Amino acid sequence: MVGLVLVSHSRPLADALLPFLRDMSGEAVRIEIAAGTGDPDAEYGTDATAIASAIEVADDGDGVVVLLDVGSAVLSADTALEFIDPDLRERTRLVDAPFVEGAISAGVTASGGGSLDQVVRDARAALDQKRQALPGDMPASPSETSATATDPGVWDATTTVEVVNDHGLHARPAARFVRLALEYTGASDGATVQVRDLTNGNGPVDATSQSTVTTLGAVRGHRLQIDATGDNASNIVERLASLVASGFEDEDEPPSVSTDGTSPIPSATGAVPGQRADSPYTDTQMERALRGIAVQPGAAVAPAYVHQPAMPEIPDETTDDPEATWDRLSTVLDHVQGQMDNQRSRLIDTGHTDAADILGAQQLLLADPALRDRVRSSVFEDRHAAPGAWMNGVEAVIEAYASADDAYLSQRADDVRDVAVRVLHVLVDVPQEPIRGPETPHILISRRFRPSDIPELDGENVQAVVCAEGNATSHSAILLRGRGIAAVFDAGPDLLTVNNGDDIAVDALQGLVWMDPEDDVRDAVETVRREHAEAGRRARAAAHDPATTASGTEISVGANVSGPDDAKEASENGADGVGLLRTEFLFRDRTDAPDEDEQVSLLDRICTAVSPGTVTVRTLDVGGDKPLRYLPLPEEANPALGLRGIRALLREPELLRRQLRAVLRVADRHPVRLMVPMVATLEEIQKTRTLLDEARDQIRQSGGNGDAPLPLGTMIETPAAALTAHVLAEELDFFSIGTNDLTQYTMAADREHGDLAALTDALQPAVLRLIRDTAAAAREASIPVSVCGEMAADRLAVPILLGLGIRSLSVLPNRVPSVKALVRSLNDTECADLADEVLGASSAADVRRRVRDILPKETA
Amino acid sequence: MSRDAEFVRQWIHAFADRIEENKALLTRLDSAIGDGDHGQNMVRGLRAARQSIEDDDIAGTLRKVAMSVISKTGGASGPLYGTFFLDAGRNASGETIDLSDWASMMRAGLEGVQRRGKAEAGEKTMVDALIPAIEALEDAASNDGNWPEALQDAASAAEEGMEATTPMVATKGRASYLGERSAGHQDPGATSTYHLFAAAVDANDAWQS
Repeated sequence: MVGLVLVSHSRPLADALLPFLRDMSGEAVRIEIAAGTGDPDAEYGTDATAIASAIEVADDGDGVVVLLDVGSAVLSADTALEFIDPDLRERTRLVDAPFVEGAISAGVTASGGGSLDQVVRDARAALDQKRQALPGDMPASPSETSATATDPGVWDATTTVEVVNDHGLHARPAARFVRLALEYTGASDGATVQVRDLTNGNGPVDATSQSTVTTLGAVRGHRLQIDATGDNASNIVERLASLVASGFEDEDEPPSVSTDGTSPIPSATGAVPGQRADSPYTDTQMERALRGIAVQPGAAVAPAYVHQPAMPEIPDETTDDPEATWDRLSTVLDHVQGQMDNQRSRLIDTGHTDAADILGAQQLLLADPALRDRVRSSVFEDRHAAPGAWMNGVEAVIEAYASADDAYLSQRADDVRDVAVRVLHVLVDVPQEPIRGPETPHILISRRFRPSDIPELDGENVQAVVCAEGNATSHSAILLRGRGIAAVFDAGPDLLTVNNGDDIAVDALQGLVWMDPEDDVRDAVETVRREHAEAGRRARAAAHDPATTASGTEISVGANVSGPDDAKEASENGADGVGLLRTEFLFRDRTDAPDEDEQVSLLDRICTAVSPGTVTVRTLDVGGDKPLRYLPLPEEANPALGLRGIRALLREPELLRRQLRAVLRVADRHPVRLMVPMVATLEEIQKTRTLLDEARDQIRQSGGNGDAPLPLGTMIETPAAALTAHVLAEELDFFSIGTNDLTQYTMAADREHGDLAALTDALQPAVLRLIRDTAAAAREASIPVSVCGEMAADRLAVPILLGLGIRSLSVLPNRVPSVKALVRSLNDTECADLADEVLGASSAADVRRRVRDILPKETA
Repeated sequence: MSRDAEFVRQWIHAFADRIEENKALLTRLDSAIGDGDHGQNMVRGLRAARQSIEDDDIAGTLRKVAMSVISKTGGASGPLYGTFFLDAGRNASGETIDLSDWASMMRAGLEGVQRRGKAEAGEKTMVDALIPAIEALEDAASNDGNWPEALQDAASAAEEGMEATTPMVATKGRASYLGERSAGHQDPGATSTYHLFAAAVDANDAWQS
């Protein structure tokens, strides 16, 4: 993305311009200021060395446009060019544009992914609007650089639409219109979009130019004609038209200062005095609200239920027999570990993998040797009884976390507290009180929630959750998002004065809470609730539409399925087929292998459930860590590196042939693909293909159709497979990258190893490079490649995967709608740039940081 | 006879001293046709330059001076004088220089200023003092002149060039906003440039003593 540098004689002037500029161009554009001189930039003047560094920082490879104010700013900027790298100099442009107007036009065009030349063009044309508005003194000659539309003769798509918002194509609405148009033209070569105002006869002008679009003078009631050329022309004119037709009302950016001098035209809906056009609440209503952080959107008006967890009393006792006390403590700790194990498998089984991961992290805290050492010394040296010793040890750990500078670490203090209280309850033998609100709709209130509280919440009756404290990145917040329960955190201590049964109104889109709401507030919140629910219904409905990026590329979002129930859920959630069917459910928990007919019947059910989607069937994936009774595998010291997947199956050719026959028979009726796990060599593929040919022969011999189409592919989950992908591609029909195992094998780090969590993050640059190379090999051989690990549903990873050339994802069934929605918000060019950028990162954490920095907030 | 880095350091100190002494004059001249900050800006830039000087060779010394002037002066004189020193320094090689080296360094500085500021002779700028001074240096160098006389000739030529700016109408820089009204005032930039060459005479005296 093209960066901007603002060079001004006056630091306060440039500082004041920045937020205004950000408001129009968003957060993604790099904008640097070089202003003032002397220390600390207090004098009027410009400093070439500061300008040079600003240019260096603003550049991400796409170039920099420098906006300048008066006089020597030009001399200084020109001098600065001598201090920068010649390559960077080549892509740096000092533009003779007006400082404020030019910066805004440039910022908008840059944020839409405009090229260096487009940004320069629009900055230079920025005065045209004012020239047209004030034709008196100056000859009204539009700048020669202005983006007048060039008529290609034939348009691929054309539509007309009426402007319905108050200010028309002005300021921010124009900026959004232009950004959308730019996304389109940036993504396909030679594509153009123009717009004209049919009502006042202005235009046509280039729709990718902020400064010219605003010169149209298109206000409410005017009719626009939008024309486009290019492959997806009809898609873009439709999207632009619906943006205009929506009145830009899906605007979710913070309200801006008025960006024009005209007096507001009364809204068609009849604006209430004192009410901002973009807020459902009046200023007085806003004043009465408690303000917190919106954690999970939603809205509700309902009676409050206040949860006040009682901390068990810690007896101030000492012990005469430290050995016995320590034994008891160890037993209790092991017991709690076991409880958490069970709870964790339940969570995994029910698909709550986020919650399971968090619980796993808490288990590790419990096993932390440093914690155990502290508790031990509290028992043996201070002679504390078990509860006191435990809490002494825990307090020290909590303190260390809570005082950590790092926001992530300081919130882990919550997790320590959570697990500590869990143990304490067992030690003092007082059961932990579950949250038990009334069995009628209510809003749950507490000081803060422990992560372990969240999976237990009554999803039917809890309409919203409000905490006096808490942080949006805490585990409790993550879990609430996972459960989709509307939540506001950090609403302040006043919240806790509410009584059980008092009505409370919550707008968890804006983080607003009203205690004892009056009728007008109830009505407003109720309206917000209805609209939000309606939007949710629309999103779920949209889940069944194809996921197309903002640039028009269709991305397949399939589901990972482990049985017939999953398949049904996948279908309900709009999955584009099954990207990974784990067949272990057919084989597990039984004394002998399922026969062919039984396999056919279950596979058939799954294919029917997602029909007409394609089902990618993975052959049985077992290993020494999860042996089947009828498939004895040696117990191994290192099962992850042992007989697993295709390695194990090739030793049982009869079992494999039977599964292949079953799959072939289903493939005769449904679109099915066959996928082999844990491949490391081409030879394994060749052997599998031989067995597949044998299975076809056997079907023919028994009178069936042995020629059913069945594409053969492999999981790419060993570095060996990724590194030889170009060789494998010659003999295969598709790839599916299993990022969980690929990460563990690439990073040489066990997924279950508590201290190596950072290494087992699939966003490690080494893993990303293997994905890139695999995608390139697939592209070379013209075979499809998908990603089916957890990474495919990671909001920060999806843009990178798209940028690396992945066009197909497979995720848990319930994640399909949100992944599709995410895909629709992404722009191909930005994803590619992002992928380029993060390949050079130093670690997965660095990748995540960079993605957060680069992606627009609503995406990341 | 040659000069070394010590001579260059003396030159910068002498120039800084002269600007401090003439700050009020420069401010008065600049207030008439500019924004009145030339004196203050030059003082700030040269103070920083003076502090930046270390035990470097000629090129290194001039580079540090240039960077200080560029980053601390503010206004147009920062990039202009900065470029002058930068380009002069780039044309200095070795530990010592003779008169013709000095003349070609000053010529390179002038070319830098003109490249940056796009000014020609007669536009009421520092260039009007620079050009005659450098031509005088080049004359002396090609006639095997000696340092003291050559530097004195250059300073006198700069002084005449400075005085010649008074009747000119400015067409470059802030003064050009005044158009005809800029006539009748001596150009502050040409004035500080005169002191740049006069400072070389001071430096030579100090160096010889």
